[in-house]
Amino acid sequence: MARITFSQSSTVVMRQLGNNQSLLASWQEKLSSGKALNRPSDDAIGVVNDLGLRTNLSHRNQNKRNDDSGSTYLTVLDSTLTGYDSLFQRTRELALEGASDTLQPSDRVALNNEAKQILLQMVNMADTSYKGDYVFSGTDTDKVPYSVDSGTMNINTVANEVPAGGVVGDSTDVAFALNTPIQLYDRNKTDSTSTASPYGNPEVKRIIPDSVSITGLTEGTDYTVDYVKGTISFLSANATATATAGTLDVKYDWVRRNELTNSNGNINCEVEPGISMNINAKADDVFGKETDMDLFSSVISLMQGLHTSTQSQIESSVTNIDTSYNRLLGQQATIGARVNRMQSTSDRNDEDIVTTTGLQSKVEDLDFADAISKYTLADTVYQASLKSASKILPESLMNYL
Amino acid sequence: MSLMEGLSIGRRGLSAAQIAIDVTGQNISNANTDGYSRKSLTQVSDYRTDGTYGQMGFGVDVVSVNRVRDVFIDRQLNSQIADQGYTTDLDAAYQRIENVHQEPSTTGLNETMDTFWNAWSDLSNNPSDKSARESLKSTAQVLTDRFHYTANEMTSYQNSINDQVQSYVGQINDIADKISSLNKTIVAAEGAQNDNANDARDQRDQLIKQLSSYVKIDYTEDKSGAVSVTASGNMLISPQTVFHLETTRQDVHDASGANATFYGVKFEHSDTAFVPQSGKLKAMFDTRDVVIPSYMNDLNAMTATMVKAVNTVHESGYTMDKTTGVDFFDPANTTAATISLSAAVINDSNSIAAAAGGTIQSVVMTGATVPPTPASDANNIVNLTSASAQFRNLAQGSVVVTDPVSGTVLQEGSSKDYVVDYDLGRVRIVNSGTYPAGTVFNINFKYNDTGYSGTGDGNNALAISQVRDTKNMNFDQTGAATSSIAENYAGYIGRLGVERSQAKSSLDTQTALVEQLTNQQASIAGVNLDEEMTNLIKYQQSYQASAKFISTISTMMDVLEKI
Repeated sequence: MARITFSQSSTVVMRQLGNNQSLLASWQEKLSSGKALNRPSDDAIGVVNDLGLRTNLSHRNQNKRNDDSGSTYLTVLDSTLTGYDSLFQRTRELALEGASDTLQPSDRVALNNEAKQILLQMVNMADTSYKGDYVFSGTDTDKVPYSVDSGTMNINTVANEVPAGGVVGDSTDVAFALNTPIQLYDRNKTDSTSTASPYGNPEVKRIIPDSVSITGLTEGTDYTVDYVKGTISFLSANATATATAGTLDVKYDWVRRNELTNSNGNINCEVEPGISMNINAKADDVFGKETDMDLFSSVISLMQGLHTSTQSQIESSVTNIDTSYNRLLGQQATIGARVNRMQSTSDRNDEDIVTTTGLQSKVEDLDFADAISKYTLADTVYQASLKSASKILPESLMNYL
Repeated sequence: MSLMEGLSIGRRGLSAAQIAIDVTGQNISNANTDGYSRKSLTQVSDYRTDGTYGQMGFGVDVVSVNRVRDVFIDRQLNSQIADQGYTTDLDAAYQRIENVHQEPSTTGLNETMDTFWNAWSDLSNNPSDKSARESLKSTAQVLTDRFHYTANEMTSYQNSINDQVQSYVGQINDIADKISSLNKTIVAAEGAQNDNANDARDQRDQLIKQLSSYVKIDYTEDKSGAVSVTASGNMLISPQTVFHLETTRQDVHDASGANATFYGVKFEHSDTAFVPQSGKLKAMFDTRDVVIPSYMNDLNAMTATMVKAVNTVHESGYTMDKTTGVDFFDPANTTAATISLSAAVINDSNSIAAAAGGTIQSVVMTGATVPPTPASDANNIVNLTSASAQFRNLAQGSVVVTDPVSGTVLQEGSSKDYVVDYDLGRVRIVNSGTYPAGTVFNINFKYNDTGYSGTGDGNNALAISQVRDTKNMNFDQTGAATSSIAENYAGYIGRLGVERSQAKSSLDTQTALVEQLTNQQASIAGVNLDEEMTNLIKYQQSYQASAKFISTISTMMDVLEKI
């Protein structure tokens, strides 16, 4: 028979109490934190999975934020483009009305005035900004895509006359010629990459009809203007005389397409992990390229018809306006499709967040029913060990002597 | 045979009972003394030879008082105690490392890195928004702080472990001294006086047990009763001498890569290094030299990858100020302890390159080979674009101008040798005294093959946010990366979890073994109070009986005297 000594039974009791207490404490920690995983050694594989799920969840939540931000942006684009609908409608009506045989030139001038307001509104809307960024400027969002500028140009018989004290390239005029279209240039801008004009000045296009004035000359008799192309043809001796005198100053307002290096830059939004989507609409796609007949040119071509009361031009401008409208509608459809795609990725993100949260909860969260029953069990065992210790330890022969 | 002889037997009985009661008393009082072995009495019946009756009983003789102890169990126990000491300290170390990492939680590195990548994604949504830039910058600072915290905690733990080595060596020497002095006591007692040095032996056994928890030892007892202790094959205590250990200072790289002085251990009077085989001392060495450095290396590999991966994309992009080739993290600081944002980003969050660029290309332009000769013109300007229209959008700080004649590298700065127009690709020589018009230079530079993409462009920020999913760590045999930084970190934490679990379970096993053996020894050597109480009664009775015997003899003598 093995001897049982006092130190043996006390060590056993102490160890068992310690074990039971630490088991109890570990369940207590789990219950109070609500987590089954409190440190890597609780379940190494579980923690690795958990970290992966956390990262995935964090990424998905960020994508959801991106979706929200992208959706808002697309909504701004969509509502801006929708705003053009009524303007197009009215422009078309003006064109049909203006093409009517019964109309007098003065009636057409009235229509032109309305068309001008529509044009200015269209330019204004093309400069829509969202949070301080111009939405149609590609990635050059700090620059306005279009603006209505005023310009002056001196047309002189001495070509490229250099003003006193100036250097070559500072000349403020172009050479005069009779019955030949003279191109206007924007004197305020130089574009080092442009070879279109002398000294790198961009060409002036899309001049607003009725904004052109030349002191001493009358439109129609002394000169005619191609408002879309930005050229003036001089017709009379009066014009020649004015040019020779050096006082032929052309004043005009025009719709300027600003020099944007990154007008075709894509603004992208990561909608799902690793998948990004282009969300911006570029001026060229929405309003047309400068080289084509863009939206503003087509309205100006109508305005020129109304201004000069040329029925054929009014009629032909309708085609251009329709082309521009279709171009814009095409973009609107694209944006609509993007909104839908954004919605579906957002739904997918939501779904994934729900699934991942579920998985994470399975790995990380405590099964309370299970934990409480185990805690209760551990507590019972602990109580029992305390009770038995209190019974066993005091037992001694001395109690009976 | 005389009555006087009976008195003598009675006296011896009384004295034996007295000794027995003393031994019982000693056992009772030391019931709770660590390392105490219960003592038992060896009594023999004494005799004398009588001419008539042959052997005659002559009372009782107490031959010896012995320790009841199983030395074989002690040996097993001591070897397990060394392993228990090792696993205890190793488990404590892993526990500490686990606590440093605080995973899984919302404050750990995993979450901090996620937040960092998310901040890039936010910036890509609002590249021109100053607040998104500031928010990214502070998120990045939280990330570097978190890396610093982890590295500093690990390093300071490593240093405290190092101090522990010194304190353990002191304790080992102390214990060795005590064992040696007990050796002498025991030899003196048992040799000259032929006693059992029971209590000294108990103490020595206890000290050997203590010593075992620090280092794994072997010990043998010689005929004189002295023990010799060896550890890792080296004599630690001989019957005559103690061989003290001492710490030596050795310069090594600590976990953060900085120079540190760690302690090595050697024998005081020789050059023999002491390498513990198990026990707490080995746990200290393993933690300090193997465990912590292995985690720090992994962490450093991760920060180095992070710095490189983010910088590579960041450099190719454009900042708000339209500069390119700017680093996000300081490329010189790649460890977890040092990782930091680049000076440019610290100074101004506009230096964060959210806008995309192309690829950074390096150009070596030597005066002799690249036409046209990059000599300075009358205005002392070297126009790089005259060699190729692409040579603009230069990477910040990448222009190195050398004078091919003297080999001198010129200094950049408006008060030094030259200034650079990074945008237009022009180098203007300001030190025209030394380098007059017409001087030919060699110019090395890097340029971005795509120009600035506008303030609204967030594609570079988007590309950096996607670095989170890029596999750029843990290369397989084919050289392909198999995991992203986050996956690598999860693996790192997983390894920590597995290693801690292993340490914990071997600690549990070891503790159970030690308890089992301790129990066995306690069963043999421990004091059972019930037993002692019974003995007390027994010896008390025998004392009373002997006294009664003497009084009976005395009565008999009275009877004789009255005759």
